[in-house]
Amino acid sequence: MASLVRGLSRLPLNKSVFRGISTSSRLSAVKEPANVDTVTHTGQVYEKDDYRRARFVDKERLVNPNFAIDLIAEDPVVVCNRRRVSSNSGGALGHPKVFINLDKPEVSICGYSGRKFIQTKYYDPAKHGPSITYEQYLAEMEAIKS
Amino acid sequence: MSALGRIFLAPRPIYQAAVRLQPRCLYNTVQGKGDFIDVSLKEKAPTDRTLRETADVYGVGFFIAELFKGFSIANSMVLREQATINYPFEKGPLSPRFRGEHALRRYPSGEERCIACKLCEAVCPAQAITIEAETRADGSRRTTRYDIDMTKCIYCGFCQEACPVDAIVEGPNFEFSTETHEELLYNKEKLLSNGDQWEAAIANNLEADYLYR
Amino acid sequence: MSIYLQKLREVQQLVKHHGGLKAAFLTLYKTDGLKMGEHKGTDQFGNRYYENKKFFIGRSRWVEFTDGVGVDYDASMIPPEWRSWLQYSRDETPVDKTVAPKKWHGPHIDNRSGMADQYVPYSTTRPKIQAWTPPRQ
Repeated sequence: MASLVRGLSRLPLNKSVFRGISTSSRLSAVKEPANVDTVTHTGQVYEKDDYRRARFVDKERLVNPNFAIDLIAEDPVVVCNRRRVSSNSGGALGHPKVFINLDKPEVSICGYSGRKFIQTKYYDPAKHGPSITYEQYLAEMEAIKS
Repeated sequence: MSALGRIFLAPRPIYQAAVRLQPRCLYNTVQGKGDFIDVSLKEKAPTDRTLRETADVYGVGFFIAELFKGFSIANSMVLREQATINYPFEKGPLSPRFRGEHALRRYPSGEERCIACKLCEAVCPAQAITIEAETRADGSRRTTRYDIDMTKCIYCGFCQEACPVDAIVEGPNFEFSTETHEELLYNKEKLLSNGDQWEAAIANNLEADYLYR
Repeated sequence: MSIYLQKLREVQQLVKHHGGLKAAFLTLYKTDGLKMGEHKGTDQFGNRYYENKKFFIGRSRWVEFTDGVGVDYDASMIPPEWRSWLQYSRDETPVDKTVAPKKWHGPHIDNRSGMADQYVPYSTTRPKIQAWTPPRQ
C-alpha cells in the first residue's frame, strides 16, 4: 500500500515531461544549470557556444571539488637522513614498493602516492614548505597498515 | 475431459486393453500395474464401512472440518516469525567481497590512486573501461578520462583484481539503478565522487579482506 | 491459549513502543511491519537504527527512515558507515567506533535518478584539437 502511494508520489508530473511541449515563454524561465562553467580537475569545460551544453539544461554538472593536485601540494615534505628511502603507503593496502634515490638537491616524488622526500642537508623550509621527519612518516604508514 | 479420463470411464474390456497397451510413462497413473508402488490412502467403499466410520466421513463433510484445518494452519503462520526480509528497512548480510558500484579511491593525503596503468582497461572482458592519460601540471602521471560504461560492465571484479594500487574498486553499493541509460555512463568525476562518498565502507571492506588476497 | 495471550501482550507492548495507536498504525502503514528493538543510533539525516537479536540475521537490524521523507524513502538514503552495520559487514556501529573523516570525504548523496540534480555524463578530457580561427584583415 505504502509502495503504491510512493510510486504515485514519484510520478514526474511537474518535471521534465512537459519540456517537449513548452513554449518560448517557458523556455525563458529555464534556470541556469549548476556548475556548467566550473573547470574540472582534468581541465575540461565546455565553451560558451558549445552545443553539448544542452544536456545540462535543468540539470547539474557533477564536478568533484577535491582536486588531487591541490591536496597533494599541501602534503608535508618528508625530511630524511638517508640517501635512499622506500615508499609503499602502507603495504597491502597501499601501492607497490618503490625505492627513491635522494641524491639530487631537490624534492623527489613517489610516482604512485605523490609523497615528497628530501635529504636533511638539502631541505629549506622557505622553499619546500612544512615537513615531517622520516620516523613520523613511518609511524603514519604503520597506522594505515593496522 | 482429458483422454486419460475417458479411458477410466470406458467399459471394462476397453479399460483392460488400455491398461495393457498404455505407454510406460503412464504406469503410475493406473493403480498397481506399473513399477511404482501406490502409497496413497485408500478410501473404503461405502458398503464396507462401519457405522462409526460412516459418521466420521459425513461429519467431516458436514462441518467442513478440512477447511477449518487449513485455515488454522494459515492463521498459525501469521503469528509465527516471518521468513522474509522487509527491504529496504532490513537488509541481508553482505560480504566484504561484494562487487557493486565502482569507485575510484584516494590515498589518505587526497592524491588519486589511479596512475593510468590501464591494466583494468586491458583485463575488462566487457571492454567497459576507457582511459586516457596525460601528465598533470605538477608532473605526475594521472588519468584525464576514466569512463566506465556500467551497462556494459558484468561486475566480474577483474578490474579491482588487476589494479596494483587498489584505485578502482567495486564498492558495496548496489542501489544505483537509474531511469535512463545515460546516467550509467560514468565518467571520472562520478567515480571519484563515489570514492569520496563510500571511502568509509570501502576501506572497511578492504581491511577485512586484504589478508586473503 | 497462553501463547495467544502472550501475542496480545506483545502487540500491546509494540503499540506502546511506537507511541500510541495512531503512531503505531502510521508506522505499520509506512513500513509494513511493527518491530521493537534497541535504538542503536541516529545518522546525520535523522534515520534511526535499531537492533533486536531475537530475530534471525537479516531481520535483526533495521532502519526507520526519518519522518520528513514520509513514504518517499529509498534504500540509498542510508550513509555508508551505517549501511556496513546494517548489512552485517561489521558489528560495531559508527556510534561505537567513530572514524575521523578525511577532508576529501564527500557528503552522502542518495540515488538522485530522475531528479533535477541527477548525474549527467560528459567527457572529462580537454578538446584535443583547436579550431582554426581565420586571421582578421
